[in-house]
Amino acid sequence: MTDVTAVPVAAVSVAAVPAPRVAPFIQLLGQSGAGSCEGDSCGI
Amino acid sequence: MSETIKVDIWSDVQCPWCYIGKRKFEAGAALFDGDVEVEYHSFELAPDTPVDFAGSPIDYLSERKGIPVAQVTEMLARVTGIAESVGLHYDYDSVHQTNTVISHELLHYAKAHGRQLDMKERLLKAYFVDGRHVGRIEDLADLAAEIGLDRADVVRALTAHEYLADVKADVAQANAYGIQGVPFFVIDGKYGISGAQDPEAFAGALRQAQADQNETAAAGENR
Repeated sequence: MTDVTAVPVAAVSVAAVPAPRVAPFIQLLGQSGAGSCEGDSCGI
Repeated sequence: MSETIKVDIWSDVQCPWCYIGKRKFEAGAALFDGDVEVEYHSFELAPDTPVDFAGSPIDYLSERKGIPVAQVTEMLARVTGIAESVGLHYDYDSVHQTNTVISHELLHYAKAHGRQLDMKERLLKAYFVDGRHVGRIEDLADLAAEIGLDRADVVRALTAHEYLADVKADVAQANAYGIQGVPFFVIDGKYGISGAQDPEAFAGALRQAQADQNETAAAGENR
């Protein structure tokens, strides 16, 4: 089973889809670019 | 022994990735050896949408975003296929595009009555699968009654907008966190996961939060 370790914001932001700019006390995990909706656009 | 991991999820009822993300999160939580408490929070993707939009989601997206109909059709087919891969049978031909603010009020009503998770699932299924309207009070009350809530009391609370301030507070909290898109998962108040990620991503984040709790507890015992 793959363990997901912390991914610093700086690391994920170099991906094709930029990481969200969240509050500094929240550390982003996982991959950037997963399906999500922003405004009335869902990147679908 | 670690404590329950709290997961706060920002989501909208008419967000296709939110329902897909819900399934993927649930699969991830099932891989996690620990207790998880989930609380849904309101996020309005298109707060200026009329309750009774006269048209299909294809009309809505093509008119609003200026995307050619053929491209919208292709996009919806793609997300429908991804939904199918997690066991969700989206039916965009029957979807009623609407304003979701009152459905969010209903989710807060349900939370106050200990039924938020059931209500969330019912609303998402109603919108994407069943072709039900999730913008009108009477239709929402029907859905609430289907999960056992008091229909008349739901109509009363939604008509009085008793939970509108809670919806707005959730939206303000999302802004404070810098959340711009949904679904967005905040795990134990410090780890964020954006989008409908794979189950392992959620399981891994839950394990990390659990490890942090255990580390903190061990440090406390050694003092």
